[in-house]
Amino acid sequence: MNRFLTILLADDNEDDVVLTREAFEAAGGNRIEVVEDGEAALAYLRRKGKFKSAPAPDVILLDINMPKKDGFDVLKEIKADADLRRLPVVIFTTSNRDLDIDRAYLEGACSFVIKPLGFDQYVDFARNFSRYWSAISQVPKNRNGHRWS
Amino acid sequence: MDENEESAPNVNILMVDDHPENLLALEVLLAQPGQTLVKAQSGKEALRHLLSQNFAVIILDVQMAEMDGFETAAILRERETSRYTPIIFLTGAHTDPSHVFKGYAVGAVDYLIKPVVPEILQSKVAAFVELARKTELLEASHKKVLEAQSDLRETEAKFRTLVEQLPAVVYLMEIGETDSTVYISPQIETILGFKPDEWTSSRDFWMKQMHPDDLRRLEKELLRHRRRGMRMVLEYRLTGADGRERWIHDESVAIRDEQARPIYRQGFMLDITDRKVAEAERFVFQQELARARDDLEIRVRERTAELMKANQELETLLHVISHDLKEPVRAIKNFTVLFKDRYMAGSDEKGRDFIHRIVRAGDRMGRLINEILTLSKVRQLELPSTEIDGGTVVREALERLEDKIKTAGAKIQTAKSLPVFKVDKVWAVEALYNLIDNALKFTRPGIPPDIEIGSYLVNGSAPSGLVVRDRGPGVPAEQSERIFQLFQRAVGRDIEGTGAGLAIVRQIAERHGGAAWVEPRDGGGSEFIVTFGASGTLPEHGRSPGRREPAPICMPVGGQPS
Repeated sequence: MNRFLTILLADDNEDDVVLTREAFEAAGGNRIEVVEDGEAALAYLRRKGKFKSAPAPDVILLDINMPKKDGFDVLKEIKADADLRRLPVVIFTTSNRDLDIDRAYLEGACSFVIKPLGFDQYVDFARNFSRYWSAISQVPKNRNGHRWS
Repeated sequence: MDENEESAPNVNILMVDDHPENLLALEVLLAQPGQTLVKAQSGKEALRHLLSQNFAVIILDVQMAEMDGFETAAILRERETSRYTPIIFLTGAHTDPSHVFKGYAVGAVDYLIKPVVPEILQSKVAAFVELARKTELLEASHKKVLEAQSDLRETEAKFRTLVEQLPAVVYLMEIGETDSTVYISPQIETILGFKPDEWTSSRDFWMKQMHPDDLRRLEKELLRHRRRGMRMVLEYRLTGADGRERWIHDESVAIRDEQARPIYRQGFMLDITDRKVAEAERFVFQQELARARDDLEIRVRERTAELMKANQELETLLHVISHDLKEPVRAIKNFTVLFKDRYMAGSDEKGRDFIHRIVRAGDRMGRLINEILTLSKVRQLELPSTEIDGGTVVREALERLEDKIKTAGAKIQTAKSLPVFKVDKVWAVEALYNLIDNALKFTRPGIPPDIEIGSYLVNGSAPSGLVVRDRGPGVPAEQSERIFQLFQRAVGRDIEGTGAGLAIVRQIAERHGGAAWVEPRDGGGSEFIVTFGASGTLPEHGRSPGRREPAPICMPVGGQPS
């Protein structure tokens, strides 16, 4: 049975955010929460400030190039934080550099996806992604230390 | 006979008497080895003989009919050659000798009264002969002495010339409390401007002219030489008469007495000022040269660093620009498509056309940016070191082009065996990708692309490249270089493409030490050649000397190489 997916999208590019939203909406069975920089992403995960009662994410789509803290910084902090380290982190970026791919996996990301070029591919991606994380892949029950409802 | 008369020089004796029987008698009396007797019967005859010979003694009879002995003698004495020739007069008893003696005071003269006592005559003759011989010997020896003297003078003159022509000053100094100069050659005047007399005038003239530093330095050496008389080689400064300093090279040896004590020092001095100056100059020059060279190296290094930095910055800039351009390009494309799908369903043809053009422009922009990015990455390419089978390269390129090949309905044939290259695989594939993509694009209207891929050999040597052949419209000769330049296109805008593809191919080839070019194909179309090795040289426009490889094995339509 498909789980309803909550995805945290960390991306500073407005256009890409819109596209991603559209694509996942077309795929269905999910909701997207958006933060626009690295600090906000961490604040969200730690339920700080305005994110006190934000919905807990099942998976994170993390862009690399963001202001304040970039994707790798966020990834590092997540994996260093005992409470957060179990969260699946998927790097979602325009970069195709081997350097970045390597570093992502080194820092503990579980996947690296290059942002699709055309909208059709975007929708394909969204569908596959949803399916994978809601139905195919199992996730730990206590994937973050906070008690979520 | 005397024993030593054998080695004695021969002498001539003249006998003059007008009586032949007297001559005969004399002959008998005086005949001896080493003595040649010459007879004359008159004064005239005697004089005749005297013209051609010299005589040790003349025996002259006084009583002669035509010319008497005294007259003959008088004439004899006038002749240079016979002025001093000894004469023995043979006179009769009645002649008064004193009267005669007065007139012939020149040369030896003797008288014998006839009849002569043989022994007396013999002994007188012998005496004169001996005298003549001794005189001859003396003259010979005198001549030798004169010759020797002349030789000696010549040698002396030569020696003097030699010494005076030497560029060196030759000297002889006494070794004693101070070194006083006994002899100095005239060159001293040429070199230092002092006359030899001046130089030898005072005992330590030489030392006084020496630079005090040098004197101090050489004192030990000089002392040693005084004691032991070793060969000395010194260099020091002397001040000339004009006050100018010269550098002197001085070599000397000791001359010893019977007890082998050194008493003289003999040597020569050379003016080496020029050499010293030249050495100093050369040293300075070398320093400056080294400094200049270091300077230059530093500047070259700095300049190179600057250039590299500028180049790097340029590349980075290019990369950043292209990268940053990608995002808005994507946004344009995607939102336009979304807009078209969601809001343009019912709109008219024109509206859809406008949207279509926007999308297409966006696509072109995207491709352009990609190609620029690729090009800039190629330029930073490091030389590869892996050997790749050409077949693999072709296969991967065709895989990437799968969709396009299918859409175009192209027929692609690949040679069964392709050469192995030492290349960077990714870039080699990129190059092939661009070439095949090109071939797919450039077709004759209505005719699907017919492409062959094979190996290219240069001058029959080992294959060093690949060739992609098409049956397209071909490339006019005047365009065949232009098309490889960035953004230069040989065709109109109805054929898609950014104009960067071939530039990329050439860039990749050249970074591998090879080349890329196009040639017309027999029967229509083009052959695009790319080489990856040093043997790939760009031919003149027209046919290249490379050999074509034989017909490839056919592939099924759809272009999947087996």
